[in-house]
Amino acid sequence: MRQFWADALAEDLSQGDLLHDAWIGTAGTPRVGLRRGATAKGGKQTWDEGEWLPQADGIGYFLGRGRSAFGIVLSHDCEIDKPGGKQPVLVAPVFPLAVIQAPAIQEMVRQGQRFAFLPLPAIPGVLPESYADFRSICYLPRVGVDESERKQSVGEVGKNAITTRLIAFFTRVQMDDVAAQKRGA
Amino acid sequence: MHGFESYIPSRWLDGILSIHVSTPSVSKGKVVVRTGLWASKRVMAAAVAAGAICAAVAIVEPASIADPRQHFHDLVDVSKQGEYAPAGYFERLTAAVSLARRLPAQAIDRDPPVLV
Repeated sequence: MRQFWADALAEDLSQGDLLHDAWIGTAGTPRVGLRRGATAKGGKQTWDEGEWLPQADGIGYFLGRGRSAFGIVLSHDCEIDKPGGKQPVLVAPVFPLAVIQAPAIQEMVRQGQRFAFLPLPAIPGVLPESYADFRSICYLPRVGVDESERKQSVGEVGKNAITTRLIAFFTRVQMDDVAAQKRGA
Repeated sequence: MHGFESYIPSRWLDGILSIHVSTPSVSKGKVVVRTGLWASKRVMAAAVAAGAICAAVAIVEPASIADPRQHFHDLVDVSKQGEYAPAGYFERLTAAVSLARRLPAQAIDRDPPVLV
């Protein structure tokens, strides 16, 4: 069986890239708005809790919740590989399979029986056998992606696995039926 | 005088863009009246410019005014560069998807916990 992971890191940010130390999360609950507070000693910015108060462009700050984790890039290459790009990058968090306690569920994920989970082979010295959790896909600003470390890229097998699983997870469409339609057209 | 010889369009502008003026002045102790034609260059220039713009718009009407859909990219042409969906792509795909079966719904009660 051919490799899921590529032998070398892709030159540019690509779909399937494994990010290390990616800040993955979303707004915390209950919702807490943040406003810039006074500048503390040493030039440190402080933040005050308060009502949601966006700036003129409609963007503001709020309290987030998440974790620093491995993440796998889901955005398509051509959306994100432009030099100096500022496009947001869709990322799914990646967790070790070992965090799943029940052996039956662990096996279910390993076999790829649930569309929401993409099983990922281990990368020696980098990543234990893991899974990407599509239930918690989020976007990261490009700067945030660049601040994390790209550890590995996927090969053709990995890319196809991501594509087929995304289709199944988001659409529940029998793509072989669609392909049959195409052939019959 | 009525007839072809009285057809002098430039006269129509008399009093509007050109004004007959008579300026009294004193020359060698005598009052001399100088008559002349004052034409407003500024008004004339503005009129010519406005006319030119109107004529240009009428002759070469911008496509976006003639057809607001021109604001959108011509999908047929640009799709050749691979930047936009080919014309009719989504219609064909939607038709194919509507005929395709759906994968069975999946239970979520045995899913691993959400860790984010």
